[in-house]
Amino acid sequence: MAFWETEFVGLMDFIDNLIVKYKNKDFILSVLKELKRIRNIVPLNPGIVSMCAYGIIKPAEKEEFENGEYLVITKNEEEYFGHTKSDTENIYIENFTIPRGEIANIYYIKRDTVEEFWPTLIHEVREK
Amino acid sequence: MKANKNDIYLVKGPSTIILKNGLFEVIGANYDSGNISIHEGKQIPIIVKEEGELDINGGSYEKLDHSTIPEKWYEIPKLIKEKSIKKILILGEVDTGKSFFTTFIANQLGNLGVSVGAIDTDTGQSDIGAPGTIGFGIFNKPHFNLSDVKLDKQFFIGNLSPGGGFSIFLAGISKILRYALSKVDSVIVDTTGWVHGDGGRAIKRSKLDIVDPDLVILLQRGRELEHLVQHIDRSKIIDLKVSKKASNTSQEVRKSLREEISRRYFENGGPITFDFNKVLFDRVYTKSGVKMENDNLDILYLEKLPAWEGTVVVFPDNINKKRRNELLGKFGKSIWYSPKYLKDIFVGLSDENGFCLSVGIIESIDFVNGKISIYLNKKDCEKDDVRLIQFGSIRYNNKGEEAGFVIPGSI
Repeated sequence: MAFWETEFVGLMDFIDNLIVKYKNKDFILSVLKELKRIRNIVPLNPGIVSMCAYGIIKPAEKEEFENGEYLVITKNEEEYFGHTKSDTENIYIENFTIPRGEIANIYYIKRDTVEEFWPTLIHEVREK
Repeated sequence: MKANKNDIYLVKGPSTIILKNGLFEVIGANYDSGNISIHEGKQIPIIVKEEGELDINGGSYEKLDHSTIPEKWYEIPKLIKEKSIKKILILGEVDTGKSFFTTFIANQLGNLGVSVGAIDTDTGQSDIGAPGTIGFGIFNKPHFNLSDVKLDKQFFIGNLSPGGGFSIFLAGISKILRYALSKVDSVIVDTTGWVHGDGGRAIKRSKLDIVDPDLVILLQRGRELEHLVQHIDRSKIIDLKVSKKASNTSQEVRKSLREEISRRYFENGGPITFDFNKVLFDRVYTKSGVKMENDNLDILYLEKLPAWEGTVVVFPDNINKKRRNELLGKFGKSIWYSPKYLKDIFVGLSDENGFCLSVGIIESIDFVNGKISIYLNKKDCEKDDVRLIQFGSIRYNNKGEEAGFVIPGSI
């Protein structure tokens, strides 16, 4: 056995899990864009990118989430992603209305993981 | 203030201590008088061996009822001398007091008449040498801080962690160690605190193979280092428990300590301009192939790289994206950038043997006339001695503040 000398492997594992676990392509693309943003900030440190990657998708409380961008997974494992609004009975996402009782899980994309975990690595990203 | 025999003070920096009279033991060395500067984030115990007077200015201190230095520590230098041990490697996680221990052992060895030097491999918080380098210094006299040891030789890494490039890091240790062994009886290798995960295990295991130490000293809280040394004869290992007084440094304080080192290094610096023809570029593609003729005004510099590596294309800073992509289409595989991308890159200025004379920051580069201007601490090197400009992976502004990264393989 040998050790990986690059921690980019952790990123590949993250992407692999992302694709296996979620079906909604818009959600997957948004997560990958956030991953790319983090990588641009810390191109030298794949381990830090990888660590932050696992903090991008955060579960939200079903009862308490605020209106905004969410991935909603219903009890039939259908996935809906986009900006949501809600009332006591339903949540409204894009053109869909989902009864609260059918919601299995809700997630949001955290867009400041690197800023929160490694504030000392935040610098201007230079253009080539 | 009055200092009574057997009093022990633990002083936290930033602080200045004035030893007025009496006899004091400070990190393994004895003093009857003198001034001690303790940097921020560091702490030093002062043991009063004979009644006297001292003043502590700034920082904070506490009076302890027993020494933070275990008796066992005093036996190690005697063993090193008795067995003529040449290579000593110190292992420990972050904040386990490795640099303090290194200073203690070196001071004690000095007391015993052993010529001793230390290799500082912590490029993130370089005590010996410039930031981003592996440095070697000789203890010609006792020192309070590892950072007070005069630099003898350094190797440019260009990064604040070994994770940015294992091969350069290991090559640097090997090169500096060979040099150090030719200069002193005993060499202490002070290591970084990265000891876990794939990267930490790989780099430390390779470091052990390269150094091939006669003595390994573990500074452990529990058994966290055992995985690294299970192949080593136990008679070559000394296991020490970490002092509960070892300081715990946050991410922010670490950055501030790093920047303080680089700020001090670059203060009073200035630019020096080098001709492309008189220096080699190292650790980048640029200037490693064959320069190509170019009459296109939208391209500043063209170079053919060997085999499948493609072409280096340098565009003017103000080229528009559409025109740039149009031109890139003609070259196939290419490494491209504009001169502004090189600004603030941290570089090493090294001699013909690959030892670093000084570190600097790229101010500007003129591809048309073949000139590169580098901001550096001018007292560190003579321009004519510089043979290699070694590119690092990080950026600094000229105040010595960290200013970002360079994408590997992009230049």
